Amino acid sequence: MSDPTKERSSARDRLRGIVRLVEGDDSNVVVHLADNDIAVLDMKRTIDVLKEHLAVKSSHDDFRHRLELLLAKLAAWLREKCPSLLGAYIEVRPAAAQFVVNVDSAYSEEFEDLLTELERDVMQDADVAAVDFFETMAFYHGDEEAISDFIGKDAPMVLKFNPVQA
Amino acid sequence: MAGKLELAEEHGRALCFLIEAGGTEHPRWIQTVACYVAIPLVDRAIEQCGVNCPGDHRDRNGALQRTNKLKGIHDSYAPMYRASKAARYYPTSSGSSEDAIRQLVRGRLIPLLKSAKKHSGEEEKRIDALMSSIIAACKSALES
Repeated sequence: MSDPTKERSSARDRLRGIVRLVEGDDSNVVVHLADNDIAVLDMKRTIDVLKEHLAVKSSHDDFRHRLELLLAKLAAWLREKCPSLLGAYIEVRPAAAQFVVNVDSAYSEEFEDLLTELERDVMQDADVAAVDFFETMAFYHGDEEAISDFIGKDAPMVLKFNPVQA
Repeated sequence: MAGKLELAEEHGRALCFLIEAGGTEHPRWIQTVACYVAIPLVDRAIEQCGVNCPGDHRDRNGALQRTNKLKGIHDSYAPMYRASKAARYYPTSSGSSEDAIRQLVRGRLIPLLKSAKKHSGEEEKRIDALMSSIIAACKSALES
């Protein structure tokens, strides 16, 4: 008989790395593992792992609904406010998420203001409150490797937005 | 233990020193210390809105994000917090000291101090003095 504790631990280890979340794809997510291997998980399993990492107490369906709304809100925000996007990630930590955006532009006070507004918008929107804590970070002409170091050191999971181009 | 305003003043003196004495060499420290001038004043403002004193960055940022009365403070503080975090943890962060002085100290910290005055009660004059010293340091560095 298998040991469920070991199974959970093994699943966590396997999920260290970048999850490429394809917007609009409800079936699978692609997990980029630390050894450059790639695994494909179904969305239900991904949501389960996220729910565990985020220490969410609500039901699976409720959390999934909130998370999808949050991701949809962020994807819409990226499309509307971020035309020069180089990369966008959500770093997932217990009960917290950090939204990291790398843009192909010089430092912009206006863009910083948009991020600040987004923080308030997410945290004050009861429908999308999938996490207890949400913060943002912008990099301007950021180096992807250095950004990976910045966001991925201890995070159990990082979602990478890979928006479908219209 | 120093009170919050005393801490802000102490950090303010360190910021002025960095800007005036070695500003051109230390953009990351300017970004970091500017944020630390703001933190005690942000905490005071949060407390004065009836919210418990924040224990860490998460509590502080969460309180700012959720409290509409603190929108002005959040608008100034959030970009400073992000810049400070990038300065400390993102090794290739760029930008000159002049950028840091213009964008963060003059562009964000001074407006934050003005907002903090609204929450300062009888200590408005001390925040005015802190603001004046920082403005003078910026002027001196940018004109030299």
